[in-house]
Amino acid sequence: MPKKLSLTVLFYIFVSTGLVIGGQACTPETNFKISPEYEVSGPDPYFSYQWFLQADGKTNHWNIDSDVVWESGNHGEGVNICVVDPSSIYLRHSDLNSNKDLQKSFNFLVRSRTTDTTIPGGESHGTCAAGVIGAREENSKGIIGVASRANISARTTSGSEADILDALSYQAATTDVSSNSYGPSDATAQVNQYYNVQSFKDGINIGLNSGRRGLGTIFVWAAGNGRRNSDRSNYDGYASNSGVLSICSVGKSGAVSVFSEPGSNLWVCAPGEWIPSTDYKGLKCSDGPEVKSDFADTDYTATFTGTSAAAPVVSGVVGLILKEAALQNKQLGWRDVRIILAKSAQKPQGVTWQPTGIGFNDDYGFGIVNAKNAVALVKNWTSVGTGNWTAENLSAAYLTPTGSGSFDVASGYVALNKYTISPAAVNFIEHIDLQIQMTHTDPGALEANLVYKPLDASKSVVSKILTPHSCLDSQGSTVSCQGGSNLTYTFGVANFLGESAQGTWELQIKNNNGNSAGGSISGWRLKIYGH
Amino acid sequence: MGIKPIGVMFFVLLMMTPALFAQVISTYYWNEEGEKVLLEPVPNYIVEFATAEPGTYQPSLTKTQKPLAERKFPGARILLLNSSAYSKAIASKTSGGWDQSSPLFKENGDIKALAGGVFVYLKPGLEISAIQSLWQKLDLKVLKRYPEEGPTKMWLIESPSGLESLNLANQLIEDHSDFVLKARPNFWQPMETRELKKLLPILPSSKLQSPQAPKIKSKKIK
Repeated sequence: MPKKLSLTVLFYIFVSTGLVIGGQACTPETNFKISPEYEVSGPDPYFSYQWFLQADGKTNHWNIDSDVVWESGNHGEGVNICVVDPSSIYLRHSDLNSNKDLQKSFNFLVRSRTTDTTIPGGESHGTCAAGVIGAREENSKGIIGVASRANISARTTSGSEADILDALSYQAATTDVSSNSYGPSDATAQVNQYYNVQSFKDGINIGLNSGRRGLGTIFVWAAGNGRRNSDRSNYDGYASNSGVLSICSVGKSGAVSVFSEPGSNLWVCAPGEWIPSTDYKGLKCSDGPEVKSDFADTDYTATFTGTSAAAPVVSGVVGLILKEAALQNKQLGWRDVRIILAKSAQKPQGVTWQPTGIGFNDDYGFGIVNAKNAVALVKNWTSVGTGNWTAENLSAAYLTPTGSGSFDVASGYVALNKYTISPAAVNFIEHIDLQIQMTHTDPGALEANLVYKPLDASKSVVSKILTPHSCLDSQGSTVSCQGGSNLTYTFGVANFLGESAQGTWELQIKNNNGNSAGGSISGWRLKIYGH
Repeated sequence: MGIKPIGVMFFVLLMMTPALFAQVISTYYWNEEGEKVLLEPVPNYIVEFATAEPGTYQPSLTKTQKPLAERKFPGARILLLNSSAYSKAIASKTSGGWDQSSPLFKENGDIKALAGGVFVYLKPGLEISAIQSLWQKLDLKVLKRYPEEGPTKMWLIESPSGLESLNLANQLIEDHSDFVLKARPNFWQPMETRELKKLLPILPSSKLQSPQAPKIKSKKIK
């Protein structure tokens, strides 16, 4: 039986992993200890530390029940999953080597196929993500990936639009899942970050239109770690895009992680604390303070933490879903996969879920991903269509403001004009893009909610869009958030999945700075996607 | 295609006259859907792009003018220079001495730089031969077509990094609107991985040093 880490070592790990947010030391879960979880011995020596994969029979920790799927013979065989990352992705790692797909890999930083190159400042973050997804099972090495027989490819990108576009759209036709654990800074809490990156949108659209031989690549995205800085995932133009699944993080108890951002765009959470994984020749997973692998084998780490770790868990589960679909001879479009994940997610008790068809929470999205439930749903699944948002089998209602158009938000609470939709072209909402066009010196002063009521007013569902907060400027000072004139703010809204668009829609805005930071709204609109 | 040097020279002059510079920083823009999007330079910060060898940079002013602070990102680093070095950096860039750099800008709060290259959408219905003649006439090199398969919808055109790419994009849309539907520079933005870590400001500061982490003497698990 492996030894447990000493308390001293745990202290150093807590401190050194940078668990200091907002000036206060914290841990993702204070009672968590790195220790083996299962009374099992298998050929993969660190499997017993992978607490999130299966129930341990002793404690009631949260897990994704992947073992049930594996026992049915599904390890994601043949599914093509790529890790896109601005860091080294070491596919020749001994635990990834059997699953590596170098033909689908590319390093856009150096324009070569070698993604193993050490990227200064990036270290082995991408290798950690790849291991969570696709470390080979029963090979007498390290750990087991969620989809341990999937084909794993790697694409290294920089922050240039050309690189991002290439990394997201490369060999789209044969890319089934794209796992992305990066984005704009979580430090600033600025509203509407990176919404205007056309190449990102182009890359996603190419994947949705041409990916997976027309069925659409599934884009999985880390929601962000800026919770303590008042950041919300729906301020992030990448994680809030209608074509991606935004993934939050939970710990062993199922509680949302202290770093995991809330948001109207969240889809599902996944375990994202102390996730054992592969790393790059002992290099750290983090580009923050120094972290060394705490396993004897320095090619592994027990401390991969963040929504960066949660996202690849979901990518692996999607691999299992797609393999099950292949076994059942079913064609799942990218929208099918999204709905399956939402419907099959587990909902922790003690959490308030919105009274919608599928139930939503601002911290959890639709709940915590569960592989067993998701794969079970595939068997009797009826497709909502294999087209994308703009395909003819997808209805969309596009609303424009009808009121006077201009609103003074400096004087307090304002309820903007309502839209009533009846009858609805969309009877099952899949996603909403909310756009608010406004001039404001400080959007962080605003509180905004999108409120939906069905025609019979039997319920009222509120989606939080903006919450009052300060921002940090790019040099780390607390400041008002960056506003501007006549800006269009776009927010992804997932809350209403499964509801009919029929009803009234209202945007409520309150300016918490009183008259000190004024502004006006020139319009708002909804783009409702669904079928 | 010859790049109009006016904007670049203007920029250099402005660097040498800070007061005047402050008045006209809004003169930088790019064209999006018929609207001019303002780019506000962030004084004293530049972005240097790595060569094909990761983590290595072309010989630059940093050899003689050590940056006050630096923050590394994959494929690029943001440097804080003093005013004099900043002016020299911009001047050196315009004379071709420092090809892999760009001034740093803010656009509605987002940090951006010009990585080199221009994305171009042409008007629909153009014959391939007309498109090729256009590139030839303008002496432009196509780096890539998008999407990879099927009819091309967008071209990535080669250009140096920095203001040259901004000028080229604006020139294409403003002077060749009979062919060009949209043209925008290949922007670079800081990208962060999302593992748990201390969240650092995007821009390096001469006052703020990276935190020194304690060395770990971790016991190993067999």
